[in-house]
Order: sequence, then C-alpha cells, then structure tokens
Amino acid sequence: MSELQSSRGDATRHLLQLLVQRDGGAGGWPPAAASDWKTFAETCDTHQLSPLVYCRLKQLIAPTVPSELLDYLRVRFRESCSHNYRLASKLVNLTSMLESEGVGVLSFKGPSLAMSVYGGLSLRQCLDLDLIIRTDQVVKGAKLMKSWGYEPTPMPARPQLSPFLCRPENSRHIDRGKEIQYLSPDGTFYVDLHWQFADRFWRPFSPDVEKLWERAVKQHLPQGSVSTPCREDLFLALCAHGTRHRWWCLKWLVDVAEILRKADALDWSRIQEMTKTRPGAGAAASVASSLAHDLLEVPVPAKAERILPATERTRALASAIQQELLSRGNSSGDEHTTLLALEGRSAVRMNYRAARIARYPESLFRQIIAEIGPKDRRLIRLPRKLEFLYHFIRPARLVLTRSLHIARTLWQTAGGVRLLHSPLREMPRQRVSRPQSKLDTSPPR
Amino acid sequence: MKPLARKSGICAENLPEEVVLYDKTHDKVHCLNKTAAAVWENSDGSKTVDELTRVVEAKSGAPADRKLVLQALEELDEAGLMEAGSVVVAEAGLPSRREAVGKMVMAGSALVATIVAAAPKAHASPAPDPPKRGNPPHDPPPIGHWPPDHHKF
Repeated sequence: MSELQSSRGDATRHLLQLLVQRDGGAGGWPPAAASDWKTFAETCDTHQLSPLVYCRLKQLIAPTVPSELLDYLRVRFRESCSHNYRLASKLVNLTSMLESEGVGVLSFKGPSLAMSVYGGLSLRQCLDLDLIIRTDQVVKGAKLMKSWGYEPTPMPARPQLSPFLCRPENSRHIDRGKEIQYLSPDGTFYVDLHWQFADRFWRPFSPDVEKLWERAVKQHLPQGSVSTPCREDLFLALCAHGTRHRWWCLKWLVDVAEILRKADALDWSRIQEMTKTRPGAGAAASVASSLAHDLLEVPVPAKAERILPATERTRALASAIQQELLSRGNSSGDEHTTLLALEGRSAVRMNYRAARIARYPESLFRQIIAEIGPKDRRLIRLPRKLEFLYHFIRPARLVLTRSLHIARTLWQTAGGVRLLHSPLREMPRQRVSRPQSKLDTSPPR
Repeated sequence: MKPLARKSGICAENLPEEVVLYDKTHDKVHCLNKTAAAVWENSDGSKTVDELTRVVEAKSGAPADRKLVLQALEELDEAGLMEAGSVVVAEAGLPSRREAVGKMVMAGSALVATIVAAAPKAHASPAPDPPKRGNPPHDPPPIGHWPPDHHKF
C-alpha cells in the first residue's frame, strides 16, 4: 500500500473518531504534524462531510485544532450552506411546477433529506436534486423538464450511452434504466429524474418504488413543502444506494446512522413489510447497519437485528468495505464486485456477468487475459522469463473452471445427483475385511 | 435606542457555536456567531443597549462589551435582519465598520456573514461551473485503471 493511501486511511480513522465523539469533550484534535490537516481536509471533502466536521471541531477545545483547518472548513461550510439553501428553493419551485402539470413527485435525498434527518439545511452537503416520478409519467415529465430549459446530460462515466439514456420514450430504457440527469437552465445544479432507485440488477436490493406513493409524507423546508418517501422507505433506499456504491462516501453512512440513532421513531413493521417482498433490500440494510455499528458506534436495535438479519454474505461484504475504508481511506466504489458479493442466485449472477460483458467488452479482455492473479501463479510457478505464458494459462484455467461450474449448476438445477458432493463420496471409508477362510491362518485385516 | 430584530420571513437554524438565518424575503443566508446570534434573539424592542449587553453576556457565555454589541447591531442592520429605524449607531470613538469588519474577517470571526445572494439572472455574467458531483468510481474507468478484481476468478 502506498504512503498516500496509508495517510488517507489515517485521516479517515480520525474522521470517524470525530464523528463518533458527539459531545465535543476533551478528546480534542489528535496531535499531528501540521501537514496532516491538509490530508484530513481532503478526506472531509472526499466524503462530503466538511460542514458536519466544521461544526464538530468548533465544539472541541479550540487550541487543539489547527486554525488553518478551521478556516478551510469554514469556507466549505459556507459554500455548502449557500448551495443547500439555493437548491432547496429550486426544489420547492420545481416540484410545484411538476405537480401543477399533474406529475406526482417525491423528493429523495438532497435538501429534503437534510431537513428530515438533521433538522436543517446546513449540516449535510447537498450536490444536486433527486426527484422520483411514476414510471407511466416519465415521458411527460421529461418533456416538461426539456420545455423548462433543463437539458438532459450524458452520464459522466458513460458518455457513449447518452443518446440511449436521454430518450425516455425508449421503453427499453424505462425497463432497464432508472433516471435521466438534467442540467439546470442556468447551469448551476443537476436534477436527477428517477423512476426507479436502481437499474434492473440492483432493483431487488431497493424498496419497491410503486409502494412509495401510498406511504409518502410531507417534508417542510424553509421555502415550502415537498413530498418525500416515508422515513422507513427512505432508510431502505439510502441503505440500497450506499451499498450499491460500496459506501465510498461516508456522508451516506452518516445519514443512515442518524436515522438509526432515532430508531424508536421508525415503524419497523413497515420495514418488515417491504423487506418481505424485497429481501435484497433487507440484505443491503443489514450491510449498512453493520457498518454504522462498527464504524460509527451506532447501537443497532434488537428489532433491526431480527428484521434485517446478518448473513455470511452481508457480514463478509461489510467487513471487506470496512477494511478498504480504514486502510486506504475510501472504498473502491465498485458496483460489480459488490453485486456479486450480495447476489446469491447463480442464474442472476450469470445473467449479470453476461450483460456486463456485453456493455463493457474491453473488461472481458482485461479480466480474462491481461490481469494475472494469485490463483494463476499458484497453479504453476513459472520463472520470470516465462511469465508471459500466464496470459495463455489464465484463459485456459478460467474456461475450465467456469465450464465445470456451469455444468455443476445445470446438473443441480436439473435435479441430478450432486456428483461432486455425493453422499457416497462423503461416507467414511470402511475397511472391508476379507472373509476369513477356515484354512487361512493369517490374522484378519 | 431599543433595537428590534426582524423575525418575520426569517428561519433560524441553531448549530453549535453558530446560527444560520435564512431570509425568505430576500433569499439570503446569514451566518451569525454566538454574540451576534444572542443580540439578534434578544432584540425585542424593550431593552436598551446596556441591558442587551448584560443579557447577551449572560446568555452567550462569551465576554461582550457595549461596543461589540453595537457592532453586532450595525452588522445585523446592514444585513436586513433588524426592523428599519430601530438601530441608530452614532457612537463617538467607534472604529469604522469597514475597519472593524476587516479585522474580524482577517481573524476569521466576523459577527455576521452574509453567504448567499439571490440567483443570478440570465443576462448576468456566465454562471459558475456546476458543483462537482460526487461521481463514484463505480463505473469502469478507462483501460489501464480497472480496479483489479482478478481474485474473483
């Protein structure tokens, strides 16, 4: 691990210690070299926690906190404050415009979440607006947004898909996708217009969007009121969102932690009802609860442990994410690895892998041929001069292991005998003694 | 002089060590430190400046003298957070507001900081770049930077 990653890991640990220490107190800023505050400030920005950290540091004994750090965070706090209040005004305006045209809207995350969870708009850094509309109103909503000057923009990571993603009348997009991203007419903020919380493979891990509407509530902002999902659906949606992104941004974990701290205010029967139809949502929430408990020392209520039980998969995933955060300062954010860690159904995993290869064909070349892993090296040890042969051994090994796996899966699916785990093979070997002849004077075996 | 704070159209958000006031009428956000916040909260039109100073010192827990309270009142008035005409600051020997604010800002402890104005109009100077979205590294980066998950195979 590089020195930079190690220092980021230290900064993230300090950040978590500060977030856990809620009462100010004499704990103070840990003594460190002057240059460390820059890495810490950078970490706060990466995890979008500068406003919250600023307020927490102000509660500490002032002389222990570097003045440069406080000045830096004060600027970030005020920038965030101004942006949040402006976003809230835009949110109230935009939702009322959509509703006046007959398009029902729910506000998700952003200023409405800040108000609901933190009681104000200053503590939580908001970057954009997330709106949820009904699937059958996507075409109308998209036309309205366009007519008001909001331009659909390509997703930054997938510019090659922009024509596809920005055509809501494309039913395939509606079925498989989840949102259209717009840039405001004045170019100062983004609006994500959602009809689902996640695309098709991650949808089982999110709450059912169709059920949000009957349970929606009003959230009051200084500028007006907006409709939002109820606290329980919000909790599940935030857990799904954070888990999907592998909790690379600690701000999301702090949101979940703040909701869990007021667990008595949650109607756990509603959460149970949702997780019965969407067990994956329960798994994502289990990962979130584990991380909130381990990293932020949030007590997880007994009801949550019963309704969101931890499994081997969720524990392993939470542990891996925690390890990444504490050692490197951030997680990989890799949706692909995370989905494979959570999804236990073989058919879905195969389908997902195939879809991913179809979308990112270069990934196939990289994973099968280019990157040599420890399993390849364990299979056969080659001298340095012959290491290029691993690029041929690896695809052969992968084809063989995958073929065996597929064959086993198909055989199991067909209800055949489990050859590799046959009870006959698992029986302890019994010594079969030779029947002793009356003429055999040797001792019995 | 008995200062009177403007409370209508103002939303207050109490934070540790600071108060954020959102002025709905003018779409502005102001950050008040402890002293300024205590002055604003207790300016109910019934207290003189001396009485206000005593109350502020007791409530804010920070030392406050008359000049500091007058400074806060002037800044609050300039920010539009006081009722018109309720603040008249013409004290001899008081440093100019610009000098005092300059010193406060340099020290990083202005009493009242206005941190946002109304949204720019379409014909104004070009809008600033949209704030960076937290684009997670979850989508595949360009070739050469793929997060290695070869251990999965």
